[in-house]
Order: sequence, then structure tokens, then C-alpha cells
Amino acid sequence: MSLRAKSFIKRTKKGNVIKVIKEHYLRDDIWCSSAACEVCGHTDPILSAIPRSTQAYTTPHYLVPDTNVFMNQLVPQIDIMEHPTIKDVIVLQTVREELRHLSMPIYNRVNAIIADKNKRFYAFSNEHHREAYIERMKDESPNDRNDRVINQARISAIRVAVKWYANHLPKGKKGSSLTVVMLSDDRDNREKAKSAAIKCSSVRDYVVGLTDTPELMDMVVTAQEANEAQAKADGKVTYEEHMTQLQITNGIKNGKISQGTLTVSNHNYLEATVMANVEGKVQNVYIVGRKHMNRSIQGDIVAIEVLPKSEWKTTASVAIEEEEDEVDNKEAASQANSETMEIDDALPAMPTGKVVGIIRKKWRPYCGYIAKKSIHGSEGSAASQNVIFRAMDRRIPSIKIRTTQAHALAGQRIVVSIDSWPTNSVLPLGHFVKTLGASGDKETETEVLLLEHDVPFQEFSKRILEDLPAEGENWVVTDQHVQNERRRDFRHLNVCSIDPPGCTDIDDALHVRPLPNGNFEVGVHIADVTYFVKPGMPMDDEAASRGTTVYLVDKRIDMLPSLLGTNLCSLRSNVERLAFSCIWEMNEKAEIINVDFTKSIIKSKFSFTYEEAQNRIDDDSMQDDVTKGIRVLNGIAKQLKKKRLENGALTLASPEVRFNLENDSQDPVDVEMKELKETNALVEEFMLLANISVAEKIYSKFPDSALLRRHPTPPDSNFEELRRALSEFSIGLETSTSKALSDSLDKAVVSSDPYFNKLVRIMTTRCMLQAQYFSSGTETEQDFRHYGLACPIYTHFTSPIHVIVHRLLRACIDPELVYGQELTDKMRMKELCDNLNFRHRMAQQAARSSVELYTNLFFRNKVVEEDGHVIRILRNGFVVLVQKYGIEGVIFTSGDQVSSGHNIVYDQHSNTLTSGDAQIKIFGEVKVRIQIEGDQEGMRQKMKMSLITPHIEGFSVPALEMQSSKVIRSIEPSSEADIPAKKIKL
Amino acid sequence: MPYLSQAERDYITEGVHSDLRADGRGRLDYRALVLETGIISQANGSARVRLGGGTDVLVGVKVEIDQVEPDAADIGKVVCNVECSPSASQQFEGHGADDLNNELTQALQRVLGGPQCGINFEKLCIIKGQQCWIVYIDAMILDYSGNVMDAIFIATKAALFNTRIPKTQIQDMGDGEFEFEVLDDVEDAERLEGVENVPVGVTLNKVWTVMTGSTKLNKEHATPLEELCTEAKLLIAVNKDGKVCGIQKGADGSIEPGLMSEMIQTAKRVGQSLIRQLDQSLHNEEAQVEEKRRNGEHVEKLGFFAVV
Repeated sequence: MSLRAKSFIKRTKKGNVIKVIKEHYLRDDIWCSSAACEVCGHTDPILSAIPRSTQAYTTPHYLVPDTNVFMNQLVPQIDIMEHPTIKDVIVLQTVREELRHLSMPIYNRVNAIIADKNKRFYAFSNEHHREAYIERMKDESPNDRNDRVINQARISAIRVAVKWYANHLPKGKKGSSLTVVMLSDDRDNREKAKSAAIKCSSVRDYVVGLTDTPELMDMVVTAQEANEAQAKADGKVTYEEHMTQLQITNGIKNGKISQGTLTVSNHNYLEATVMANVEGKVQNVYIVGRKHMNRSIQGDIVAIEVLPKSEWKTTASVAIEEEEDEVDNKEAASQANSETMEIDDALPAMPTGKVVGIIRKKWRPYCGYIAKKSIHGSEGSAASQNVIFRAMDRRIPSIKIRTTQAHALAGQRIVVSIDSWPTNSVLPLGHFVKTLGASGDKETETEVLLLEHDVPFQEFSKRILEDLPAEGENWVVTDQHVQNERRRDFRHLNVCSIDPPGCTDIDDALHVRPLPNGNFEVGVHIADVTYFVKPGMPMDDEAASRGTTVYLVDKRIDMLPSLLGTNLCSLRSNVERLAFSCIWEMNEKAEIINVDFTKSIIKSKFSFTYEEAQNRIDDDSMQDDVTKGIRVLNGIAKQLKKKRLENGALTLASPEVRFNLENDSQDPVDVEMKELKETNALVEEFMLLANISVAEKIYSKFPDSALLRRHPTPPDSNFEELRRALSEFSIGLETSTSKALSDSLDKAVVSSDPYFNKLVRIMTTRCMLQAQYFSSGTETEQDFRHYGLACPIYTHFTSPIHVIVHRLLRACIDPELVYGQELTDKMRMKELCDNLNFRHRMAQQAARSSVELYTNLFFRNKVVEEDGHVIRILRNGFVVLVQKYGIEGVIFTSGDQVSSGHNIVYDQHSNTLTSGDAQIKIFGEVKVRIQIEGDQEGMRQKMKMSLITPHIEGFSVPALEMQSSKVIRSIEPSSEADIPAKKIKL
Repeated sequence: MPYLSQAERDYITEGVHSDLRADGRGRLDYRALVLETGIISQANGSARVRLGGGTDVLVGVKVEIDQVEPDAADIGKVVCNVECSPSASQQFEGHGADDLNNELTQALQRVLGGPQCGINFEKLCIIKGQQCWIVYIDAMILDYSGNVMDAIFIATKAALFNTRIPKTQIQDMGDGEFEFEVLDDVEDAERLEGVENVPVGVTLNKVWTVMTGSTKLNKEHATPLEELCTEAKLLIAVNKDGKVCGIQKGADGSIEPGLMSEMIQTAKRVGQSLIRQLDQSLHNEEAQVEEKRRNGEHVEKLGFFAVV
């Protein structure tokens, strides 16, 4: 070994500058890892003995990529390296280190490739290799910009390493015919390499030689292309330059700039809001139009500047149906811009701003399709052309990509990454990543929605499965569990579970028994996941990263391997299971006398469905202990609910539907509203009670790091639109407390419309903020409140996905338990919460998208007429909710696809659309025709609604004959609004 | 103070008089000098100088960021400090070195703290009215055998030559506010501007001879015994252009005007030739290091093992 030093200059927090020196040793035992090498001492070579050769490089060779192969001028290009055809690659330490500085996501992806044995990527520690090491030198070229210097040092290090390989490989007998090819998009580097007799190629040239995989060509990002586009559009600058990082930081400091996350409207991709601090108040700031959005994309953390009040947005929102195709169509953007800029003093102006910089880009690969119209040329032509890509996520702008396989990709779902968005290009520029499959195919579409919501849906890896108990399905409760773990034995009790039909993951079970003093002992038992998932296990990490189980219409993406989720941690009937129990002593008035938590063993006697349990309650002939118990529980639950509602808990509603799937094809054959029975509420009440009790307990023990759940009080402004609409019916909306809101919701009844109340509740739900997990140390105690449930503290204990809560509780009740930082570190807890919140939100959205997918499948080839309600008025249309199917759609009154033969006028003051006598206003009843039609492209299956009544000449469609709507069995929607199902988290 | 007998004193002074010193040098000859730069990795610049077999000085230069003084022009500054290691000499034990430390620090600060230092102080200012670099020069006397001031000056000049200031990039934050960023690459750091104008010090000793009365005798690089015979000494700082950058008189005796101007002339001559040789060897050393690095060879700094 020999010693070298590495040094760099660092600025400390206090502002001083220090030089940091690190020792750096060089070694002789870093092997080349080629299977063909007989000189090196490696045992498990990664690189194969005979790597591939290409047309241009006919000798078998290994590849040595330069940093710019992974990331070209801050544009990720790693997709090519991830392609299965690229194997036997040597990744230099120098390159990895540089990537780590450039982009963590890319660095992690490179590491993932290296970890994948099939890819045969070898991480070569050239920096520690005695012969491949090179001292860093100051760049002598006149261009002494910082990145230049690093480049120089890097590329010479790469050349030295490549040279070493090239000289080293022929030393072994078997390796004599091998060579190495350096890949680099830096012309300078290639020229220097050539003069040093090193084989090298640009990515593009190399990929051309891979004739068997033409799709790789589309993944090449070339700086050249971007420059071309730049030159073409020169002088036509569409967007303002973004501010520099420092200007933004400074602007935020002195209050001129606010920062927030850009949330693009679902109806109009040219309208977005940013929650930001304006004039000392956190409020929604509108960003309207392409120009003001200034190249920011949904989810980006942006810096915004609020416009002068005279430019504030005052009109209602516009929905945009389809984005315009013409890339250079600037008029459309500016038109949309000016339309919404009309000033009307009658309406309060809403703060409006513009994006001045992007603090963090949230670009990711997007699923979508190529707009057919943008494909030119004849079928089968392999010429490279620019096409327009549309993301499934409507909030994402169209992306311009260049591809040779335009015709082959038509009709396919593909994944595309954004490369850049220069100021002079209306649309962002991107490149093709991969094909998912034909559009409209159920499998493909499900994969699309999982990808779009960032749901990790890959199989559990072998390492994780190794953490499962070795006995597998034959695992049983043994005496050891009773004796060694202080588990209470509840096996003799009449425990039973109540779940939806077909539920395989039974999380919770209940029991009740009378006590000698006349009170009742009520127990909630939750499967004890902590027994199987111990901190630090790969399974624990995976579960924490997945965060939740995702329920789609036709499948479930598990958080834990199914052996646990649906077997060992499912409280099935007549099997002994480990559980965590919350035991109350309650009196007849449902007052808690005492509460106790314990680990236990239970043996459930019955797993009921909601319906079975309900039948037992209702059937007077049933007088066994279990049935009596359910009745007692039901009685207590009703009292609990009453108390809860008196405290101001909200009864909200959402239009939930259930699909009946055909067994073989899993195609939806029927749709029904989720039915709600008394027993749903029964289970719900006890789960809420258990959660509250546990929350109090863990907070008392872990004031800084208890994992709790809160539901923030929604700001008054969220209710503005609804309040305005309700005032038409002389119904007031009090939102100061949840109690007041709850009372005004109860009063919101219109006798002529039985559905009205539920509609108001649905719309109120949308005004709410998201409930969140949080660590108690990061918020003040007042903010712990759960607004919707009207309780001061809450957590999720009753679903075993919340392993952490179980661990916390266990630490509370077992004084001997040794626990580490994972339970007390509030920052780590916060990170965990952030991830949980994110996964949760994504899971909900994925579930919703899945429902939408099935709705579309269901309505395919059908035309249905149905009653609906208007829930939102737009300038150019209105949103209709059809309660029977829980679907909503926009009906446009103006736009490309609407004939202009009507005279519908938007009235700002009353927020209505009028045409003659017919008026469309919020809560108004309408009859609509529903059908699925592809958009012009046929790629985005979309539900199309058209108005039937009220009849508006030149706009409404005639009613159909009745038989076409017969296909649907009519189900009376339950008018009682309720917390729908227990899988919906409060 | 070691005792010096009359006979010894005569021997030295007579020797000086005949341009033949006890160690065989002539009156104005320097002692053998060993110099190495860049030996303290954590410092921004460093040098070590050893005179003959005895005097040994290590100088480290460190730059730090500070606020510009409100009343001063937009300039950076140089702050010097000299310290004698207790191991260098018996007399430095305890607080024995305090007086000498002060004297040497002041002498160095007087010459290098002002514009005569040669370094472009304006260039040390990073953002006008806000931040500037402060150059801290810390000299350590490791071994003491006379003429320590000259050694400090040589080591300081070499260390400053070796110093690289981290490169900064000024960013406009708008509204007339600026902020700067430090580039983390060591190779980007830049040499101090005007470092070639940094003066060296030449100490001349006046040795009184009993025999001839007012004889003028100057000598260079006095040994400790010679210093004991010194009646008066004069430190003259001279830069490469022969400009006098500072004069400081030491010891008890007086120097008559004629002798003074002769001493200054001598110092100019000696100093300029010293600077020429010093610059030559500094450039040579740097070129060698560069060459080695370019060839991928490892540069080994001998540092404290340079002279044994």
C-alpha cells in the first residue's frame, strides 16, 4: 500500500474556509474481475469471459462509460445502461463519485445496476488502484471554469483506467482477444483517448452498432439535438429565464419570493396553485398560463412571485379538454392567459403569481402514449422524427420526443423521461424509455397506474422472504409464546371478526364479556406483526418503504409477504394467532372505566361478513353467546357513535362503488354502491376507540416520537365556493369548528332532493385537508387534533401495517423490552411519516385510478343514461356527478369539440350557465348520457358525458330508447351518508 | 547569557575585522541554507528554512475570511505571529521567550503589515464593504543558533510563494446584494498577487573592536557567539527592486550616520542577491513538483526529515 492525500476546500457553517485533507491509500490487490483473466486473484469474476461485440467493434469488449453516459449535461441518460442488452460494463469509481455529486437518484440507479448480477456491471475502484490512480491536476486550458477542471481530472482518470485495462487483459492467456471500449459523449475526451490509442466511441455511434435493439437509439440524449432545437427557435424565447439559486434564497429571505409545491389543476393543465405564504398568510396562489408556469411541472417545488393586484385572477376556472398539438402555438397559451385575466370587481380577486424559478424538479419517467397526429411519414419508415408524447397524468404537459419507431409505438403505452426544457421550446424535450404494452389492455393499464403512482409492485426479494418464519404455513402458536413473552391467553374467549366478504387479511377481531360487577370487558385484537417483523430486518425496511398495502379493484399490492398478510397475521377463525389486544372495562353507558394493553394469543371463533353479523343481530332466534356479544357490542357502538357525533365528528361521504367482476376474465360485469350496514359502524367505532386509547398511551411514553395521525382544520377559504353555492338554497355553512360544520351539514337538506344532503357531504369532503401521519415531536399539541373525528389525539393502531405503533405500544407495556433509537429519534420518525403519508396518498390515488379504469371497462361499448348532479360550474362547462356509479365528468359548453350552435352564457355573479330558460347551476339535477369514447387519438379512454336535460337547443343530445340502459341493474343508493368502509382511513 | 571571555571576544572581533569568521566564512557570507515549501498539508502555504546546522524556522500561512473593517478601504490584511519553541534554546524555557517573541512578531508585522509588504491587499477583498481574506503568518522557531530574523523572513517569503488562496465566485443576489461561493477544488486556488515583491530581511551586526576604536564592521548571519559581541544591530528589509521596506535597530550600541548608510547599501546588495537566489530555487522546486505530478509520480515531501 502506498499513501496519497486528497484535499478539498470547504466552507464551514460559520462562513470560514478550511482545507480538508484525507489520506488515500493505493493497493495492489484490486482485480480486473474479468472471467478471462488468469493474472488477477479474484474468485468470483463479474465480467464474462466473452463479452459481446458489435458491428463497429468486432472484438469482444467491455465498456467503460464516462460520467456523461449516465448523465449528459444534467440530463439523465441512464436508461440506455439499464437496457438488458448492455452488459459487461466497468463502472469506474471516479465516475460513480462524480455522479453522486451530480444527482443522487442517478447514482442510486447506477448502484442498482451494479447490484444486479445479470447485468454484469463491475465497480472498479480505480482511485485506489496503484496503477490506475492518477493525481489530480489543474486544468491548463484557458477555460478555467470549475466544471471544466473536474472534467479534466476525471477524463484523464478514465483514460488511465481504460489504458490499464487494455494493457492488462491480454496478459492472461484467455483474455488475449479481449479489449475495452471507452464510451464518452465528450468530444475532447475522445480525441485525447484516440491520440493515446484508446478505443472509444460516443454513445450514439456505439448504439448504432447494436443492430438488434433499434429502440436504444431513441434513448440517446444528444446535446447536439437540444442545441439544434435551440438554434431553430433562436430569438423566439418563450419563457423567462429562471432566477439563480442564490437570488431565490435571497428573495425568500426578504419576502419578495415565496416557495411552495406546484399543484396543477386536474381540469386544466395550464392552471395551477401553489400553497405559499403571501402577505403573512398561507394561502393558495394561482398560476395561470404557460408563460407564468414557466416550465414548472406538477409537483415541482417552485419559487413564485406574486403579481400586482391588478393582474390577479378573478374569473372562474376554465377546463381544458385537450392540449393543443402545435408545438409553436403560442397563441393558445396566451389566449388562455388573457381569457382568465378579465377583471371584474364584483368578485374577490385571488392572489395570482408567476414562477420565477424551480427549487426542486420532480421530473420522473411518465407513462403515456404518442399522439397519432404528430406521427408523420409512411408506416414502416425508420427515419427519426419528432413526435408529441402525452402523459397519462393530465397535469403533465405534452413532451416532444425524437424516435425512429414512431409507427411501432403508435397504440402502445410507453414510458418517457424529460431531458430538458429550454426557454425557447414551448414543450419540454424528452426521450423514449420503454414500452409497457398495448393501450386498453387491462394488465398494461394496471401497470401504468401502478407506475404513475409510484407504487412498488415488484415481488418480494429472496432476502426479504428469508425473514419469514421457517415453518412457513405450518407455523403454529406454541407453549413458548405463552410462557416466555408474557402473552395473555385469550384462546378461550369468544373472539370473532367482522369484515367485508372475501376479505383474506383479517386485521382485527373483537370480543365482549360481562363482568361480575355488571360492566363489560371489551377487547379489540390486532394481529401482532411485530412478532414477525423485527427492527432492522430487510423485511422491516421494505415494509417501511412500501408504507401501505394498495387495494386495486382486481388485486392487492401487499406491504408484507402474503404468508404474513393473509395467513400468519390474519386472525382467521379457529386458528390460534398472536395478537395485540386493547381491553377496556366499560359500563352500560359506554363509558370507559379502565383500559389495558397486552400481547395475547387468541383463537377467533367466527369470521363474519358484515352481512352475516347483521343477520345475527336481526335474527331473534339466535341466542348464543356470540350473537349476544355482537348485540352488546352493537349497543355500545351506537352510544359511542352518538357521543362522537355530539363532540362534532363529521359524517362525510364519498361516492364509492364496488365492481362485481366476472370470475375468469376479471372483467367488470356489474357495479354497485358500497353498501353500509350497522355492523360496518360497529367495527369502525371500536377501531376508533382503540386508536384513541393507544394514541394517548404512546404519547405519554414517547412525547417526542409517537407516531400519530392528525387531520388539520381546513382553512375557511376552502369552503368559499361551496358556501356560495349553498347560499342559493339559504343554507349557511359554519366551518369554525367541526361541531359547527357537522350541525350545518345536518341542516343542509332540501326536501325535493333526497340526495342533496349526501351531495353536500361529498363536496365538503373535498374541502378537507388530507389527514397525515406525524411524529409527536414535530408538531405542537394543539395541532394533534383530528378534525374529522373531533378527537384531540389519534393514531393508527388497528391496522397491522403500522408496525411502528405496535412497537411503541409494546415498549410502553413491557418495561423489560430493550429498544433502540428507531423508536425515539424524532427526525427518523418524521422521515418515516413523510414516506407513509406519500405512500398513503399514492395508494388512495392508485385505488381511485383503478376504479376509473374499471369504470371505463364497464362502460365500454355501452351507452347509458343516468341522473346526475352538477357539482361545479366552470366558465366553459360544468362538472356532473352521477351518484349511481360514483363517477364524475366534465361537460363542455365551448371548445373544439362542441358545436357553437347554442347560446349558453356564463354568469359570473350567480356562477351559473344559462341559455334561455334553462339554467345550469351547482346542485342542479341533470340527466346525462354516458359513453366511453377514445379521444381523437383513441389512446386515452375517456368517459364522455353529454347533457340530455335540461334541454338546451343545439347542445343537448336526445334521449335514447330504454333498452340500451337495461344492462345495468339498478340499486337504490343508500341515502345515509356514512364513513364508507373500514378500508378507508380516517 | 553564556559568558564570553575577553580572549574569545577578541578572537571573534579580530576575525571579523580580517573578513574571516570563526567558522571560515567571510564577513558578508550567508550560512548554508536549506529550504522546503508545502510541507504542512492543512495550511494554505508553508515553508521551512534551516540555516547552517542550527537555526530552524517553520512558517505556516493560513487564510481566513473576515468582515472588512468599516473605516478601512476595501482591503484584506496580513497578521503575523512568531513563537519560539521551548526546545529551541535553553533560554526559551518558561516565559524566557516572551520578549523575543514580541520583538520578532513586531518586526515581522511592521514590515509585512503595510503596503511595503508587496502583496496586493485590494485583491484580498472578496466583496467590497463585506468580506475579505486575512492572511495569517505563523512562524515557529524550532531551533535557535543565531540570526533568526533573517531566517524568518526567508521562510515567510517562501511560504507566501507557496500559498494558494481558495478561489471564490461572486454571485449577484439582486438588489445590490452579493454573496460568494468558495470553489472546493484545491487545484483552483490562486497564488497571492504581488508575492514576488515580498521583502527579505537582512540583519547586520556592528562589532566593536577594542583595538582600533571606531572600526565599522558588518556581518551577515551571525552565530550566537558573534551576536554576543554585537554592539548594535540593524534589520533592513529589502525587496527585489532594492527598495528598503523597513529598518529596525536592535541592541544597546549606537550606529553613526555614515555607518548607517553604508549598512543600508550593503543590505540592499546582499538582500537583492538573496532574493534572486531564493526565487530561483523556489521556482525550481515548484517546477520539479509539477513535473513529477504530470508524470503521475508521487510527490513526497520530506518535511522535517529534510536536514539531519
